[in-house]
Amino acid sequence: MLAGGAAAHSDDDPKAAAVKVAFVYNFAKFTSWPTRRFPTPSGPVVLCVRRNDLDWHALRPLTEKRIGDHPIRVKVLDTDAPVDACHIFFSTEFGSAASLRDALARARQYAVLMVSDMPGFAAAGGHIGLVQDRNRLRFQVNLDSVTRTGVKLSSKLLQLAEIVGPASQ
Amino acid sequence: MKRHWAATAVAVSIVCVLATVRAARAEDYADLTLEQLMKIEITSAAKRPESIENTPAAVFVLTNEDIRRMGARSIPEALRMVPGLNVAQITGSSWAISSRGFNSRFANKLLVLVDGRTVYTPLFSGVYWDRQDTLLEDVDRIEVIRGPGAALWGANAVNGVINVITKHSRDTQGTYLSAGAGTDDEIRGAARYGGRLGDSGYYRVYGQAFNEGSRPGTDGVGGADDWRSARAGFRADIVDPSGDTWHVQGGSFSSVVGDGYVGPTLTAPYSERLEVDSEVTGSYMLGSWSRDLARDNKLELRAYYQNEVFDDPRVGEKRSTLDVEALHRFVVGGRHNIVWGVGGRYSRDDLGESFSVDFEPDSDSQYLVNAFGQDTMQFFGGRVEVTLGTKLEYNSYTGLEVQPNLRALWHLDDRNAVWAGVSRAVRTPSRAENDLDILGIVLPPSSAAGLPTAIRFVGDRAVRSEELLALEAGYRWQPLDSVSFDLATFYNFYDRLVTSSAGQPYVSTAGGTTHVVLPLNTANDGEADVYGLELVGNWRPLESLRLQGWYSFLQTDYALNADPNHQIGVRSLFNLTPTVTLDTTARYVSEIDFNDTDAYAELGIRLAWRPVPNLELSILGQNLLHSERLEFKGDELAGTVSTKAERSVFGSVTLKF
Repeated sequence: MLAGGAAAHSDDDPKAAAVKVAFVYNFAKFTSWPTRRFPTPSGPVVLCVRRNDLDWHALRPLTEKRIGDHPIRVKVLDTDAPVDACHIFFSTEFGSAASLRDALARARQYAVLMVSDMPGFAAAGGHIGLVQDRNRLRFQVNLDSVTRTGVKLSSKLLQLAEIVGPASQ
Repeated sequence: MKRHWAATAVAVSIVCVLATVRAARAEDYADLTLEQLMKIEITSAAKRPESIENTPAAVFVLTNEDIRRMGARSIPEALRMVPGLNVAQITGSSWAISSRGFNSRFANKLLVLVDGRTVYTPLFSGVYWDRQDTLLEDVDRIEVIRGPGAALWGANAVNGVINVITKHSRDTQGTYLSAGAGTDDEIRGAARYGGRLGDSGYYRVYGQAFNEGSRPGTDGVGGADDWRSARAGFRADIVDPSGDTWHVQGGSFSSVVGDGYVGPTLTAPYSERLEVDSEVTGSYMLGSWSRDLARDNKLELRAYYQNEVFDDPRVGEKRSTLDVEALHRFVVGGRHNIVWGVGGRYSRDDLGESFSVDFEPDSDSQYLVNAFGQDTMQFFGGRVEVTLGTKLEYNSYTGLEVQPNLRALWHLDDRNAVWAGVSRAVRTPSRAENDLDILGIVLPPSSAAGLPTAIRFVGDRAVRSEELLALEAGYRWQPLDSVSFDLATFYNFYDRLVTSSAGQPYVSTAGGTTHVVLPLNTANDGEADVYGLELVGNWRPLESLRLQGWYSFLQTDYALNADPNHQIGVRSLFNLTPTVTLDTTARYVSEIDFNDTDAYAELGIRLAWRPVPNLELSILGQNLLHSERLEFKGDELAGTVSTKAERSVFGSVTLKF
């Protein structure tokens, strides 16, 4: 179990869930994907969440929003379902270190931005990790991982991020 | 017309932002910017907000970003911008730092911790600031609590606690390199590498070194206070298969510290100017283990060992310290948040003597054992919080000391909170106050006394602890999300302050010449009242501009007061462009009558550029308002010769990958 301390579990605090969803929405706003990810210019940005990792009620408001010309579609995926069709994928935990490595490899192949609130996510090669620090949220970006995935993050986002070095291979 | 419309739009959006932050609705959060989201407090359903800024005490936090953008290259430099602290640099490597009064090079009422390791020396109950250093890039934050923190941290946390907290190894992965050079022969370099230990462990190792040249002197001779230091350390954090957390850190340093001072002699001219290069080395090792016994129920064990050796013509010190502590935190009945623990510390020294300094005995050990407990109770749905705590400490000098503490915090609403506290704290005597016999200065023969007079400070084992009764109160107000104020006030009653009073002079022929000795005997004859306030304001008028200003006021009847009555600090952090930042720090310190130090104002500016996210180039100008400035006149009786601060420039490059 890849866990830093207490086992990860979905938030029982609706406020925390709503704030995390807002972070993910903002990350999507400041990300550019390769053109092949959008077959039509107004195709949806697909935000995927692993089942039970974020309260559905927290996600619902995003379906009414847009990112530029693109509407947002929210999909809930079962464990180990492929992330190929997603533009941005959020999960609180990955079953094992191997499972995380596989997910990141697939993300590289399909240009998917991976976001998680699992402790140590960015250090382990994840793209954007949400970190809770004394009751506030901030985020870490593993630039090396993001670059290798073919996704670009706006400097407005990077300015607020804590840049984390690459995981030792 | 347009202007009205714009004003209305601004007013409406402010109201909208206020409204959205109060409500807990998902769609409202999605409308906020990242900066706004990063300021929102989240809590899990069962717990109360634990952020340090919500405690019923005068707390100030310097974040990693604050420290970096101030251009601070040492912990004392970072502490300059903390309200309520008096930070005065005496020479290139010595500082007088205190909280709420009683400042001196040997200030003894402040407790300083680095990751839980106490770094004050029992030799004079104070801190050798030249020895306390770490890679500042890897410091997560410095928490400063003004006022007694005795219930949790024990004796010596009389006027305040400074907690330097380094980042978890998980947050310092990868390579960090930094190099810089500045005026006055200043050269610095640092490197750090962080990696993984298996699946659930992280570590980092670092090294850093610097050289600083001497500063202008004050007695007609150039300063001799150049110094150089090298340090290396490591940290590892591991979660074992059963979920327990292990933490280990260690470090070692070696410095050569130059100093110019005036030493006494028993023959004309009765003083001599000396310059020395002292060698200081030290190392430490700290380990801790913690386990979550159940939800909101945590047990921690911590132990550390540290060793320092210091050699100087006046005095030498070899000291080893071993400290262990066990701590248990748990929640009872959904409303009591309890912390309790036990601990012990053992410290052994070997002191070297010289012509002017003698310790009797020259080798000794001190120990203390303590138990502490604190209960934080919530009422009215978390709106009111009352904390009751105490620490019981038994030490080898004065026996049992009891330090109780009662505090309360009341959230009037989402934007206003008021707090108050009453506490008792003690400061246990130091090795010097007990056992030191030091020749201070020699007065030449005068018409009154035909012989020279040697003034000797003499310690006394009967010295007891100094006592403090502190009354504190404060108010926090956040009228807008981008504006906040924090006011802390205090009234401190001190008793049994350690004093030196003239004893019966006698004639001596020790040292080969006949002279009069005037002993200054150590006793607890002092009393003082100190009161004051600290007011901090924070304003973020734009997303890219953060402003902070503070004012500290202190008033006392203590005759030997070396603290200014007024201090002002102002900082601005400006993100000029996405890759360029411009930061300024300005401060004003009023005059110190006791040692004739003038008031001064000072300014520092830092400009930094990130051409690519991994690389930062910065240039820092400090002490810009004066080409030379005296900050703290040395203690003549101790022979300290101060040196002056100079206008300086420092440029550095940092690279992360």
